[in-house]
Amino acid sequence: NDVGQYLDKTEAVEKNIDIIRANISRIKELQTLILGSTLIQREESYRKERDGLINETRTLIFENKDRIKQFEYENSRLHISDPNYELHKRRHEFLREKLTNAVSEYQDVASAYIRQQEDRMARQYKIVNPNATQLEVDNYMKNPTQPVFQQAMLRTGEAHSVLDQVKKRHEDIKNIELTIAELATLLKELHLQTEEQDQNIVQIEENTEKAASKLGKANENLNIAHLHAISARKKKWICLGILVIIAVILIVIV
Amino acid sequence: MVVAFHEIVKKRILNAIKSVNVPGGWKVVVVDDHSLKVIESTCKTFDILEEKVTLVENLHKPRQPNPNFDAVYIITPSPNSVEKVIEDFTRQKPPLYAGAHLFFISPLDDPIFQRLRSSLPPNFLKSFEILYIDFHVRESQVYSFESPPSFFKLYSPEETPLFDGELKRLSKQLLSVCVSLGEENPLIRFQRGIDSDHPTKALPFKLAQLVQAEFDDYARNKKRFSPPQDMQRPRAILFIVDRSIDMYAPILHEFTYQAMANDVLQIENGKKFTYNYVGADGSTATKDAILDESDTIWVDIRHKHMKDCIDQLMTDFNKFLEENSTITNKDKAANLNDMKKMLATLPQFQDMKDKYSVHLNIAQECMNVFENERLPDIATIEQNCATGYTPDGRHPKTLVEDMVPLLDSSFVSSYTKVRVLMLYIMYKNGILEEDRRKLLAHARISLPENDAINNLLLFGVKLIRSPKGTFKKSKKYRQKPTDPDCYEISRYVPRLKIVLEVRCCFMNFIIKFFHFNRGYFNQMPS
Repeated sequence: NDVGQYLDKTEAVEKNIDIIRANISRIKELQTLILGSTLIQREESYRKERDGLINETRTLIFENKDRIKQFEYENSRLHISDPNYELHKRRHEFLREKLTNAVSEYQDVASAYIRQQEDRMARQYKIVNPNATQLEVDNYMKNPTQPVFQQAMLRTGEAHSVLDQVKKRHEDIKNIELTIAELATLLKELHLQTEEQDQNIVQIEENTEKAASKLGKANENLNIAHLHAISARKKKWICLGILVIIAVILIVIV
Repeated sequence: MVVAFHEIVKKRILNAIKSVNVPGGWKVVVVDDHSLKVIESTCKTFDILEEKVTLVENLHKPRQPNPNFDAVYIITPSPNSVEKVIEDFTRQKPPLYAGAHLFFISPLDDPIFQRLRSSLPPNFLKSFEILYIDFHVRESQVYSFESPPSFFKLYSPEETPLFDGELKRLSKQLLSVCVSLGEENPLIRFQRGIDSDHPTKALPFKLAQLVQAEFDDYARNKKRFSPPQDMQRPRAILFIVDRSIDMYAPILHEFTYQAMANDVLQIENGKKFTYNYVGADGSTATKDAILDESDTIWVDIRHKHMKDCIDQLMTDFNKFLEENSTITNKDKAANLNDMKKMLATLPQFQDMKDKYSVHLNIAQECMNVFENERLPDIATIEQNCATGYTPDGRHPKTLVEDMVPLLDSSFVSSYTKVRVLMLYIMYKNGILEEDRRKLLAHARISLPENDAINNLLLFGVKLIRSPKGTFKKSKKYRQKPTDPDCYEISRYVPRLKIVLEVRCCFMNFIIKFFHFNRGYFNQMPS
């Protein structure tokens, strides 16, 4: 039946979100490994796995966001008197919240990574230029491809490999920043509920129309009531008149 | 290991829902008003919906028939709710749900159980369990029965007919608490009345007896007379005390964050705080803040002294601003990268900023009251009365002289004056009729407030001392001089704390050197 189908569909999305969350925690793990690794080769392999996961997770998030939006759209066509209205709505809200939670968790993981990676870069810059001021470090952090390391290369041989690493990390950070920005827009999108509001407006309109027609009827009824009241009053006077006449007659007779 | 109480109860509830295995897997959860509050104290609807639950519905509201799903009822064992469940399956054809899984938050009385067994068609009753969760978890280590009327039922002479019923109810709820904590057979210690003519001297004793009976019943029903003893952990002790154990603590002005905020501000049920705030464009608006376990700042600072609290709030807030300097530093030419970062962290930033704003607001308002109501002076007198010592460890000789200007003051609310008077009377162990009249005249308090002072009698507090000569000197309670590091206006140590600390030391000693047997001590030294 319909409800069963809907529930199955929502369950599929729920399972996907669980996969997303599992991916996120694996990404977090990998990032700790990347930050802690001392061997360039190993770092590369971690990074590869992580990038793969990031891509997969990204696709999953967008796909499921669209599906949740689809539910919302379908639900907006249900009438409030539909027996399963509440169930549909609740399920959709639940999924939205679940995805929102996952996405914000992902954001946290990504920004923590950037922060740590930046700290590390600043440290490395200071190793190459031990006398650097904070301003210099800040400037470098804004554009880490400056030829600082070429100069330093003249002094130490090691700087060459460091430069390579730094470039890579900078690329890495840029990528993750893109992800974060993407997630931010996605969160906003998830919170937009235009369709549902449309539905509400339609309902308000309907209700107002109903109210107007009922008001009209009420007015008619009031008019009738008014007429009845007038005639009733008239009859009361007639009654009183008759009573007075009877009384007069009785007095005359007695 | 200490596990947060609300996590334990949450797990009990979710496990109950999880334990229901139905074809298709989907179920509807039905609750009533009381059980909903109990559930809400630990779980969010979101948590419940994660257990393949389609809807959470209220038993006493019109519900949509769902003949394809089983219903998981988590309800109070009240006649009202049980009738409603029976109606769900007998009133109409087809019945509202495919089957009923009944979970009661506390044990059923026999007549209700019989009624259920005889009226609910047995083929619909799929499972039946008692969860023992009839209480509200307030904090990770605090529970409450959320029942202010209990106080009157237990202490007011006008409501004595309700006394026994109330105790019975409380004993059932205490059983719930212990069972939820995994303590199925605790030792029960109760407070002995302070004086033999104490009106409530028997309350802890009676309650202790009822609770013991509940536990015996529980063990009998479970067919488990001697629960397997965890050798690592001695039997728990359930302390039963009543208000009279410490009449100072509830009247004193407390200056820890949570206590003070609840005392001097309007906080609805200890949770909802409404405050005014000024928006970026200078307009003011009111906002509600919910203070609960999800508010990390609140959880972190609520039990700290106001002064430490404000210090911590300031440092934390500044640190927080520094961490997010990209957003707060407006004149710094933000490059594209910074902009992107700002965009991403903005929602979290906003969220945390709001939380800080709530607490900075609460702290600010508390301090306003602190200044305006002359609480430093008041608190010094209160502490002198409660501990029996001045801050430098001498006996307070100038209490009345210090007190009278404050009683005369129009800045001090009469509510506060009443509290000071109560503490003074308790410190003096009753005062002369004459003195009382004078003090009341200074304070200009209203009749109901005067009644409030008189009601202290109901807790065994002496109000009037007969004129000199006839009065027998009784031993007054005086706290031992406190350690010099604490704040002058927070010197008093609640007696319950002393009792528990002494008990803990004592127990550790006993456990170390003696073997344990049941009923070793039947009464707790008061």
